Amino acid sequence: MDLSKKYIKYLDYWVILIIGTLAIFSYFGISSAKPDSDVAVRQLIWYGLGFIIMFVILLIDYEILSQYAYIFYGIGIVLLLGLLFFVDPVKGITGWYKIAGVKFQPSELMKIFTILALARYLNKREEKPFESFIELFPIFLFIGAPLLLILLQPDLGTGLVFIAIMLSMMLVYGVKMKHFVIIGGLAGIGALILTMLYHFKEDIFHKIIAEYQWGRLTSFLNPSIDPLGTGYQLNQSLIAIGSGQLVGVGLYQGKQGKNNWVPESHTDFIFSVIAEEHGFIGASLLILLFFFLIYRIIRIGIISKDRYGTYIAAGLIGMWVFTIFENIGMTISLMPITGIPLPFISYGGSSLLTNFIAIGVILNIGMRRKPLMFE
Amino acid sequence: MNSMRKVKEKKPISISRINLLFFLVFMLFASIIIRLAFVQLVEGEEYKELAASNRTKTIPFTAPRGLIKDASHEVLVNNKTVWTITFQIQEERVQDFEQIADILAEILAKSEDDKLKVKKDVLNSMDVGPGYRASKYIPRIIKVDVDDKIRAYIEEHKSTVPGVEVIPDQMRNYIYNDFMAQVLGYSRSIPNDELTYYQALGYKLTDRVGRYGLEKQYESVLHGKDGEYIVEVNSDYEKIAQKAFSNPISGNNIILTIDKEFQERVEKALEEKITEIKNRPVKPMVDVEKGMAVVLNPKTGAVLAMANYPRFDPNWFNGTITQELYTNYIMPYETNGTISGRYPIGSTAKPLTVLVGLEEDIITINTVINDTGRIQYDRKANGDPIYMKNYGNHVYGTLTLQKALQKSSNIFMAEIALRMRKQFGINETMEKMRYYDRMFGLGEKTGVDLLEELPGNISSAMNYVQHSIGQHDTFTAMQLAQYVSTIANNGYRMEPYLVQAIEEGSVTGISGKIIYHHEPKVLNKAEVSLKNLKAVQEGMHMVTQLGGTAYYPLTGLPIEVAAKTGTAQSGIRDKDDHAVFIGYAPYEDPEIAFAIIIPYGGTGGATAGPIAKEIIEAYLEIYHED
Repeated sequence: MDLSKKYIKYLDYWVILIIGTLAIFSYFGISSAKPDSDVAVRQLIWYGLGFIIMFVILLIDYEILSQYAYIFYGIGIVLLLGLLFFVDPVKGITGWYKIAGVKFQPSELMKIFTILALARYLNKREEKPFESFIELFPIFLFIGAPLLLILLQPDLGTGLVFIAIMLSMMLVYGVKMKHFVIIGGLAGIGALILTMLYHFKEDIFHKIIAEYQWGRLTSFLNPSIDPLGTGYQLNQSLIAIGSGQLVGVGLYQGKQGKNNWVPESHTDFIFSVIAEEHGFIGASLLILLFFFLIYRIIRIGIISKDRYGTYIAAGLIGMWVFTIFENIGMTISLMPITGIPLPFISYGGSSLLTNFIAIGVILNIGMRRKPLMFE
Repeated sequence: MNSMRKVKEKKPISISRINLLFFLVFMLFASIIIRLAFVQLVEGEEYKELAASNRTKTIPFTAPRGLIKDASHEVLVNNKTVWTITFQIQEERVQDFEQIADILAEILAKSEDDKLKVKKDVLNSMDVGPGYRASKYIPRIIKVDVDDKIRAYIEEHKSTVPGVEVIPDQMRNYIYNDFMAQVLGYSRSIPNDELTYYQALGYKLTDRVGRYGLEKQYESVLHGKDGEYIVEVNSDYEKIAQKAFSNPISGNNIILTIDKEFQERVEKALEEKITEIKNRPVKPMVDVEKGMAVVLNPKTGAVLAMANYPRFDPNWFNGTITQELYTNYIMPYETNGTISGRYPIGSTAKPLTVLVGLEEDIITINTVINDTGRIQYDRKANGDPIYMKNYGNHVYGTLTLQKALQKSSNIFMAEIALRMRKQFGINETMEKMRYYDRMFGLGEKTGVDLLEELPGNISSAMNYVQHSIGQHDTFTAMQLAQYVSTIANNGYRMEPYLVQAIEEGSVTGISGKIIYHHEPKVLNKAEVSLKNLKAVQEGMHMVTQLGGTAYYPLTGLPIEVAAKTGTAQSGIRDKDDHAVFIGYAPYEDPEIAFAIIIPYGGTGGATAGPIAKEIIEAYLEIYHED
């Protein structure tokens, strides 16, 4: 449990530097989106808490995390099930517990727990290949249980993150390509059935996918069809990002976010604010930072001393890449709008702390790697 | 050894898969960068423009309308800047009309008002269909002239009442209320069917335009050029910052030929006389409803007074006009009777009949006709003769043309008409009579600068004998005034005008420079000899002398007056005659010419004569103070 010199030496300082830079982006992004509020300062406090949690996790050998992985997973499932018993009379099933005024979203933590549990399961198989498609069912169970509970909330965006985690981990484990093809085929059939329902039994269709969700999912294809309805957010986001042009309008000079043209500008649509104020140069710098972060995690996955670490890295990559791609993609009309935050940038404690836990775990893996041959 | 084995096993499968994963990650990030570059670098300019139009709003600042001033530059009509609540149906926003009306009613209702009723009124003003009274795209005026408290409240709660605006509005202020109401006219919102016309001229949909009287005639002069604020707004359309401002340019002022004091005296004279004869204990004239008088400067055509009684208050048009207010207090008096009310002119036609006789050599200046009190001019179907008689069955004996005018002999006129018929035949007689009528302005538009003017009503019947005593065609008071002016001005028919000058307007109300000055215009010179005209003028002078029909009403005036009374049969069995009176003064060198009509007012001398006297007295007092 001690932090020996070796561990400190092997700590990936690049990752910490990247997170520090993202903190700067986050602070200025939030403070331009909400200039008259203290949310930006509160975000810095969350960042401070996050770093503390990260260091605490570094102290625990991740082997121990492996031992408790299923227990964490169980706790996560219980927390998600618990949401069904705290149904808000107005909003229905919500995705959070409200504890002392602070919202706690179990689905955020559940991502990590699921990754840990699935990584442990895959590690235990010791690279035994999945010969038939049916053999994959434990993986589907690990992912399917939380996915189902999250779709009930209903939170499609977070649900899709679980699928991304699953696919990424399966890919790295070495699941046969033909099995990916089967999954693709099944997804295709599902989509076909939904299409049929949409065209012939719309009422049943909207029981499966709520009307507002459908609107958000489809408006990105043509935001100007309904500029004040579901396309409104997207249109305003595009106006914000587009008017940033190459160098941006300047820090705190952006108007779209501050004056509420872009809704949720300090949370889900924070990228629009950053792209408006800092232009293509600033926005692509942010994207490159994310890319560099992913690169460092992949590197940790490769050099990890065991497969468990590699699988965790794969799961985190699936989680973050999908989240980043979906979040930025929706602001530039590349992806449908779903309500998921941009990691490390959007305002929000639950999400930020979860991401810090994940960073703690991955740094832990990297620091406890096997020594290189020539050392 | 165990760990070594693991390493060996791990590399061959996972690293290739991790490389594949990294490749996928790279592709996703690359697609974001490419798309971002497209949005920001390729479409950026377009979005920048959209952003600008998205966030700026132009708030027009209505220019003050030009002032209306009297001849001595006293302001008669100015403007009051008020805050007005408007509502605009906006299809691109969600509007709960009921809720908006609720909130507005809550704000507008005074403690003693019934909130439900106020809400109903608001909803009615909002005009949200089904079946719109005004086009959906026109902002509706909910309430004119609200106080600062209401305005501030609405500004602060704008997001709760989408489509509601509080705009600075210019309200027309008719300082002396009903003074000269029909002549000044009024302004109101643009009528539906003229929207496109006014929009093409750059008007806003909420603008008020002149809809009657001088306000209408001089719309293009009085209307100013709006200024505008360009403000930046947030997503609730609340103002954040002002970006630009352009000053409104005030409309130009018009300066009338009318002196306020004089016009007021004429209006008052009408009012007092009408009130008196309607309410007198002995033989009250219950049919009298209105009266009109026009006073011109015969030499220039300048209108010195154009009076109607009763009048309405044009300020009423600033607010909502209820059906009750309109039906009872506006509609009956809305039209300017002096230029659109047409009546038979009775004996005031006689000077012209005599002049026609002279000009057509039917009579000479020295002709003497024996007035026997009756003359046969036609037969009934059963062969019974139809006689022309004098008013009151008088018999005047031998008459010169002057004496005939003084006594207002019908026999003398009928004799002229009958002699003309004998000489020219009926058609040509009629033609000749009307030819002279028009020469003096009877039966034509006088050309006064008011759009509501009507020409005379020309009868299709060939009643040439009735024509000679003014019981045939019908004319307006304005036409009568021009006719008597033309006699007074030795045959020069002048174009009457109300606006003598146009002055550059200024927002502060300080007089600007004169940019237009009206030059008197001769419409035509009546083709009559001065000698004949003088003879008729002498006759009209004798009317005001002892023995004349207008002697008593005009007695005591310090100047010589020429006049002619008229008592025109209304043609309605139970109703009294129309009292008509024309004249000019001073007789030797006329400065004013006037015409008065009191429909159903009885005899011209008795009813209209005293009004004429008051007009002359007022003129002397006001224009000859020194």
